[in-house]
Amino acid sequence: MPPCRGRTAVSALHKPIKDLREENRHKAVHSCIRNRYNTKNRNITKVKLCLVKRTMKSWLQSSFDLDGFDDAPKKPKLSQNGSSKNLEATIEDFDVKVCIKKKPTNNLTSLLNICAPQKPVDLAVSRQKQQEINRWFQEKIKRGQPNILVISGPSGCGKTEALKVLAKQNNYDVIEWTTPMDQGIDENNRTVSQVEKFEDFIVRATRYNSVLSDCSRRLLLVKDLPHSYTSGKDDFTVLLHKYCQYGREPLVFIATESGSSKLMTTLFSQSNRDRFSMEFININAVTPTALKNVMKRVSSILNNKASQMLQVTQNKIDEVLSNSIGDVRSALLNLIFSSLKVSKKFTSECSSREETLGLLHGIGRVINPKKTTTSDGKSWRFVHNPDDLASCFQTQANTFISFVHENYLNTIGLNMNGATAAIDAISMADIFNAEWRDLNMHKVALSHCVRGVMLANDKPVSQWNPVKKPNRTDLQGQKDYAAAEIEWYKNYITPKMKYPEISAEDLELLSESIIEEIGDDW
Amino acid sequence: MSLWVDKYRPKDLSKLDYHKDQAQRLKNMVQQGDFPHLLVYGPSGAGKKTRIMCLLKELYGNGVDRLRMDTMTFESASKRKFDISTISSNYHIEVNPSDAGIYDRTVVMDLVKTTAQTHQIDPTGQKEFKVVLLTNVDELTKDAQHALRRTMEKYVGTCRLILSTNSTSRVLPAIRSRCLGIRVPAPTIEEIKTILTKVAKKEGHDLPNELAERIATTSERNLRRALLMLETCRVEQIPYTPDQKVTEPDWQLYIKGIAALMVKEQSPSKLLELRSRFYELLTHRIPSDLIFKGMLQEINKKCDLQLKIQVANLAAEYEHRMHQGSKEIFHLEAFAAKFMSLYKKFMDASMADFM
Repeated sequence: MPPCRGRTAVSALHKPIKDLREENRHKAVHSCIRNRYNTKNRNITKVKLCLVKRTMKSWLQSSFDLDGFDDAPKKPKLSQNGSSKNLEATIEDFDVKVCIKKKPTNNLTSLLNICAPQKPVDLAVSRQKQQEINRWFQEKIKRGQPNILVISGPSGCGKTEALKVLAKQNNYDVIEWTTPMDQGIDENNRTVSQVEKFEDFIVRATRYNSVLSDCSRRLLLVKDLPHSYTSGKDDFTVLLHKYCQYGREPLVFIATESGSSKLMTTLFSQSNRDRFSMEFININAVTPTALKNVMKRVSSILNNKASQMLQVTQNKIDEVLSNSIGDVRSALLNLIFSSLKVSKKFTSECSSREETLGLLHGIGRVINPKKTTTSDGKSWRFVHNPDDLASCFQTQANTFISFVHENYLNTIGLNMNGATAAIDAISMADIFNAEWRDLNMHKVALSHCVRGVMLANDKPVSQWNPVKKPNRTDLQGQKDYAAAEIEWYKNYITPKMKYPEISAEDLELLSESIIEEIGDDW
Repeated sequence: MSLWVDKYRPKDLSKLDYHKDQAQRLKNMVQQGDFPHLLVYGPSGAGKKTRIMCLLKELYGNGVDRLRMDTMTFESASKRKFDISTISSNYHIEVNPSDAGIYDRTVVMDLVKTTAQTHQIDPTGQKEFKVVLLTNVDELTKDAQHALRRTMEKYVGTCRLILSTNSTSRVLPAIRSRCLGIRVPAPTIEEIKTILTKVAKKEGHDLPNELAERIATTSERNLRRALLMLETCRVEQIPYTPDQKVTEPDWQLYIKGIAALMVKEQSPSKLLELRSRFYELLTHRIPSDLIFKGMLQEINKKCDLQLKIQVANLAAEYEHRMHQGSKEIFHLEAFAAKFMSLYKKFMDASMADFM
């Protein structure tokens, strides 16, 4: 039996917090959503408990009820359950009947479960990537032989779901590794480290058939590696080697990373890839269109199944879509959160996962400011708020200002006044930055620089501008005139090292009068 | 082979070639075996450093000639580590604190502290104090200067400071009043000519008077540069001829070129070109105030009076900013941009008048 989450309604009802924690193993969980949700959930729990007391029925019934929910496709069973329940509930008063009829899905886990994609068409992952994964299933896997696949991609792009759905389609049973929370003790009362357990899982988990599964073949899935591998304490290569010796079933790693990250370069380095002939599939962030489709599908499911606590409207979907950055999970959580039916009116404060801007991206937004006119058409504002931009780079204010300085002329076109205003702002920012007594001055400096440059450039010229790295003059030695003079002449007197002289082209640039003057001097 | 500048540098106060009565006075001062903090100022290449070293030799004997170069590591308040190269003997240590940029305060404080905290066990044979020689004091930030003022008072028993600077205008009055000021004026053309002839004779060459005259004038009364030029001339052509070419440092040409560019065309793309030239100058360790000065001199030749005032104003403002900030390139570029837009506006206006 794969280590899976407790799914009975009882545990779901009584331990919502634990359940949630398991569900949201990924770090991108909004604590506020959780809190809000839990308060809501607890209320419902209370109601439910009252109901149980009043009906004097065993809560086993309700557990079945929700179990049915967990397996969304088993609709006939669900309705049967419902009808039988209805029969039993006829003696109860009206409220209870309504409650049962509606079949409240009041737990985030089950909400997310009913939203999970069931068919390949539902997936947010592009068709091409699906085909790649399918090909791996069909062509690369040889029966009884080890085979490794690594799926990488940004968080929330649907890696796991894609794998699960496609595995099911290819008649594979997914056995997932969950890193145990607490220390384990084996039969001889010895403590077992996570690593040992993990090795055990990798080598032995596929030896025995599950009594419950009807799939013919199995697949190991590892989403989070024990920490000691990533910190380099234990040798990952040795583990892989072991797997290649004893493993029978294919092994899939899911790495929530982009291609150049530490995990990819250390654990799944090129040498490891070659040695164990790993397959690599990189999945991109979800495109807006795909996300829109997912939202459409999900909204109908949610409105159907959880209408007593959720109301998903097109407005909300649009809002979530406009704020999303290709993360299905975060978009879905946001949608559920913002659609919660709550008595008090809440504005959606946490509307998106905080965007992390790359340095180059940030520079691009500063030197290429986009404006929108407001609805009345008289005033305008920046598409990207300068303060938000500045706040992304507070820890590297100096570098950012240098980069802006190096690149701001790229988009300024022929606007000399704009260039003057921009460099003036940068020069001022440098003065702010030199003030070391106040720790917050660099933020002021950064903000001044970003605003100044964005305002100065009223008509950015868009063309292909590679962002350049600033020169590092500050690393040079002493700024000493005497030393410079001596060095220059020294190069002249002992002509071993050639001093870069003024080239002919530079001389041409000198205007005539200057050359005459120099001639006089000679 | 050492350069002539170093080879013929006088090592003794009595062997100095000019300002002889000043040399005598310095000698008298150290005869007592003690002296106050000194602030030596004068233009570049006037012989400040030579006089300081002579003074130290008079005080400590030949031991000061045994120099060693070290790098000292300092840690700023924000835990950033940086290295500073020092030249030291058993008796003194020489540092250019402006190397540390905005962290010069740490350097000044730590350096004086570490030097001054060691007392001599037996003061009979030696002097009680060591000397800390700080060059380019005018480049120090205000904070560093204040820190310097305090440490100066605190460690006066075990440490003497000799500060060397081009101009006293950027040195705090508080520091100036705590030091004995010694001004070293630039040598006259005649003095430079005598020295050049002397050096040439020692090297076994005959130096024509016209060439000596020309070198002395071109050097702008900077003896160091004059000697370097003399040696350069020897490399290029020997024996010396009166109409020989005198090599000026090419960064002066370069700065002139920058000024010419600024006047010629005003556009952001030109600004980009100027930036690369500023970088070029800065990587060759040319002090940025020299760049400002050179640019202003050149620009002033091209502007009429009304514009001159504004340009001088601008140059002053951005040079001031440059000393406050830490990235010279920003301020140089800002000045160039400001001047270009000013000049453009002016030209457009005068063209409109003309039409």
